[in-house]
Amino acid sequence: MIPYDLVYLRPSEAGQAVQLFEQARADGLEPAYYAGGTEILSFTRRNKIRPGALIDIKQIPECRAVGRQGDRIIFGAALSLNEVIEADLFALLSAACRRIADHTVRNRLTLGGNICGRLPYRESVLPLLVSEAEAQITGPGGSRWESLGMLFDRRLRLQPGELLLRVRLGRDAARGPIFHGRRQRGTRVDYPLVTCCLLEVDRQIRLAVGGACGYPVRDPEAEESLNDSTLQRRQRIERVVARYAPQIRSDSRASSEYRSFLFSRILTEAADRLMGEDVR
Amino acid sequence: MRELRGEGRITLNVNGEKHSLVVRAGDTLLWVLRERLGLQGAKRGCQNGDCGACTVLLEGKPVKSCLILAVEAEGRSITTIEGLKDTAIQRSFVEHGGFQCGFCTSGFLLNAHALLQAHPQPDPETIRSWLESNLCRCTGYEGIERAVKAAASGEITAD
Repeated sequence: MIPYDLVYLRPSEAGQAVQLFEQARADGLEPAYYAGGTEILSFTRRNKIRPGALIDIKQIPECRAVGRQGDRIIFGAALSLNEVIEADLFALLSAACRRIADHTVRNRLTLGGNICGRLPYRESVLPLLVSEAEAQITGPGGSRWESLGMLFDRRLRLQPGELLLRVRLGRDAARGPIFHGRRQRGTRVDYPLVTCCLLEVDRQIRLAVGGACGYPVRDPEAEESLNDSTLQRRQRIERVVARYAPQIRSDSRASSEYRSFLFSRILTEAADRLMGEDVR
Repeated sequence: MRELRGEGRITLNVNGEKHSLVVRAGDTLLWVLRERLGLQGAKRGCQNGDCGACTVLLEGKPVKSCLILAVEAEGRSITTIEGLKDTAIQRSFVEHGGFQCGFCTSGFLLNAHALLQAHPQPDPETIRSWLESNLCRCTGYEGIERAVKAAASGEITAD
């Protein structure tokens, strides 16, 4: 349990949530938006964070939205990862979500929580980066749709009081061939050493990488190498890994050399699936 | 709009019975079940969402009760191990040695019961995916897996 008294608020609309956040902030309560709560509860128990007010977003209609809308697919920020998987609207996102935490935790862990959380892996953002999804953000300054890729630099760059309501992506992007590869040190539930999400759109492969660098990244220059048809497959993969190498981290779970090796292995498997034969 | 400042009264629907009680906003469902309602079947293990010993069913879906606030469970159907009676999975755990010290058993049983409700004939990958949510400190996984497969096969039925 949370070892101090706090305020729990559950608004039913987005504007009310923002107002409550602002009011709680004015009252000096250090508010936090609360979705699945998996991270907030474990972090507060260990005194890593100390929010004085939790604003539960699970009854905000936009945050619970899921489905096709015209030529777009929409996912609300308060959908649990299992709800995202069961909706089965974007295979790459389903594949990524299926490997986050365990099945029971995925009944609580939400898409928005995974994107905005403090843990650095944020694996659900990888498919959204390669599908060039947009995010609907609401806050004291109003509501807007913005490119997720533009908003995301290691983490989602939100202003104080801003809330991620939902994400949307084009149905065409969701139809392309995909590859999801992940390696971890221990069991499948363990945090990733490397996760790669690849999506082919208009015969070009897009790549986003997590785990290896300590934050999710999509690097256009690496993608250029990956799609350079004048190079052999092996050369393309070497160039991609070399491009990421300065950012690949070493820690107690794996050295940067080992992560680079795993990265290369995943890309080789992806190449078998997505790339044509080498040019002779 | 629901608001709970510090503490307040909530109503929980646990195993088909309604309980009206005053809780703190920061009380987890696990704490309220054990310390306020005396339902000690959900075990306090890691309190971090890793071990699954505190698993209960919320609207029929397994959740780790250490990672949910009691106030969030208001108005929703909660099933603890005390509410699971005479099911095939319970008999199967007995028949196939699905437990050793028993600390993890209530969590495994509720998770496996929900699995069989959602997937009456689960494939091995589905069983693996669901069961990896729970840890057995005695490492009795083979017996647990045998028990789940036997219940899924219809070899063992409810009392």
